Amino acid sequence: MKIPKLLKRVQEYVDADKLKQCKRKDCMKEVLQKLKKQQRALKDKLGKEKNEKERKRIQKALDIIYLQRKKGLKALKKLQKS
Amino acid sequence: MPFFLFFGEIARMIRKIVLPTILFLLAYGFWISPNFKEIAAGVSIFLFGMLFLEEGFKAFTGGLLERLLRKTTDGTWKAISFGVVSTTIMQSSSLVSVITISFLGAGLIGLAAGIGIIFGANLGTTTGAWLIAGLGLKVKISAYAMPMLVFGIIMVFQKSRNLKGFGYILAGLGFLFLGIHHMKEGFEAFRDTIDLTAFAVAGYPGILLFTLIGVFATVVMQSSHATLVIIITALAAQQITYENALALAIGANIGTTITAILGSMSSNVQGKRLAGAHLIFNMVTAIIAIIFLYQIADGVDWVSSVVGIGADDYTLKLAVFHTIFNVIGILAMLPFINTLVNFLMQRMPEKMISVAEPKYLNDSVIELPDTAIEAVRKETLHLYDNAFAIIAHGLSLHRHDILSDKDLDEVAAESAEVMPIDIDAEYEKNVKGLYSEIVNFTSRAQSTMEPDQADELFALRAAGRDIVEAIKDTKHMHKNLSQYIVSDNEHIRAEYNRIRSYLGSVLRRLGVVQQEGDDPTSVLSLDIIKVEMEENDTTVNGTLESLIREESITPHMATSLMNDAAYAYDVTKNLVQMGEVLFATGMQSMKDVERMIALDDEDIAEVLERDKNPL
Repeated sequence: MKIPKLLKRVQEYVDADKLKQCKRKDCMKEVLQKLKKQQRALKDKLGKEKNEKERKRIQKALDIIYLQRKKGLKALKKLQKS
Repeated sequence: MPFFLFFGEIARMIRKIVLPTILFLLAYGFWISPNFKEIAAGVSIFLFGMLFLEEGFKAFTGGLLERLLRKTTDGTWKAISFGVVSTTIMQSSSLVSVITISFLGAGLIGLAAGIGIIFGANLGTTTGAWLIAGLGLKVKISAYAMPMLVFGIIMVFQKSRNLKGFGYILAGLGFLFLGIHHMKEGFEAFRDTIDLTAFAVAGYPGILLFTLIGVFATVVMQSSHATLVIIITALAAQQITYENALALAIGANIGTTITAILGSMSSNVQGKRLAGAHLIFNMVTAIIAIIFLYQIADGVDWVSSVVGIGADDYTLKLAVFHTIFNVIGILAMLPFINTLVNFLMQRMPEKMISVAEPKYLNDSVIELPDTAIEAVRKETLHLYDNAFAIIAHGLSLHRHDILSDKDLDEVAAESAEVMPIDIDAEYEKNVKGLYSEIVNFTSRAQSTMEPDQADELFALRAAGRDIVEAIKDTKHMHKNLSQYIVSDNEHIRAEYNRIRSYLGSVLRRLGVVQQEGDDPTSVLSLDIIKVEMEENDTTVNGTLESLIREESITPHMATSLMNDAAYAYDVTKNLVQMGEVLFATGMQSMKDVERMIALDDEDIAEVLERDKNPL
């Protein structure tokens, strides 16, 4: 590891707030990825589903995940800027 | 427990008599011998270093240690290894046993895993003897102590929790080294004036006498490490015989259990069982070591010659002895771990209780912030389990039906029998006391916490309040619900069955989220309930109006339904709020992220709007 990178790592570790932000960023990325997977799976399911009631239920779940991801991406941008 | 009450009494009596005597003897000793003063000061500095070290490690006992524990204690060998490694790093078996007791008390690990850790800690503590004998006496460690103290103290004054922790550890090690240095100097100077070996006692009377001295010294200093340092430095200065030193080391091993027993006094029965296991293990190991002392000493000679330790290097040979007899102890006790667990469970049974009492909250966990938070979380889950039964029965639904795959609409329609339940009495018996204990514990625990940790604790306390509110709302609903689910009017019956089925589905979904605790998106799936909650609100979705307009229900029924739909809405809202906090596990950052993403009222309104006007 190069010295500037090493120093940055040490600085992050020592600065509690920065460390917290970094952890949050990683966690946010992980959650967003999982939500994306769920979104894809639900879209596939919606494409195959014929039952109208079930389609409505899936669509609702998709709407919720869409909004969650929207909020998450906005928060991730903020975390990356800080 | 009579056994522990008896111990408690003895400990209190000993403390009363022994302290003034020790102070007097020390003062007299200092007056007649400056060398003795140096040795005693060395021990004090050493113990001070141990305190610093413990303080430092406490900064790191948070999430990391807990995650490690979960992953490394699912098998006996893993638990033993964890005990060995953690004690080797922390250089304090007492700290490891006290932390293990608090983890056990908080329900983070089981008794068998706890016993495994304690076995491992006994072996890990022997590395201390190696360090002192191998490094402490061969190198001039006071030269290392000074810079360590300087760097350590500078770090202690820093704001960052991690730096502070490192600072305490570094300064702690510095003090340990300095203490060893002073003890070494003291004993060497002592050698010129007085020969303590004149008091050596040979044979088994000597072994028993010096074992007792070892126990006593360790109980007084609360550290087997400190006793070992004294033994090794005294042995190096030829102030005690090798044979007596071995007996002292055995005594130190027994004495160290006293710390665990004292630590378990404030713990629950699980902690007391572990302290019992610690005592039994160390006693059995000591008995084996005393009986076979000469055979083990021969073994030590053989091992020493194999690894190249000189025949007259008694300090390193003592370290070999210390390791060998603890390994023998582990090998002898390992096949009996399950027998030991059964024995302790039989001798120290859980109290049969008529009123719900806290399972995880006890004073032994209050010192470790993250463990305290986990204990509160588990206790609030316990509260939820009790509340779940009350709410389910309040809805006249069986818990097994809720947790099954059955269609809840059908279950509600078919089980039109009112379950007899006195919600007030159940609340008093299974909820109120427990909730009060949680509130009391969180208030006491938050005083030692960082702001983030205190916030988490308050969130959990609020989750407890949500549970209590949900029960109260169920109680308000209960009277009408009991009346209308057996009503002749099929419309009102259907509406109340709809409330039952809906709340049953909320409880079911919460159960699923609780099971999938490790998946961070699981808690986010509670947002579906939030949306459904708004859709199902009978008071605003038009159902009520049409029922009144068509005169399907009486105005009296309508007002009841209106009120109870509002209560059902509140039950759902409270339970979802509770679930978002209580079922979120893992790192604090992950919990923060989940809370950032979870939908708020505005977002829910947007989803409902999309639902009405699909794109």
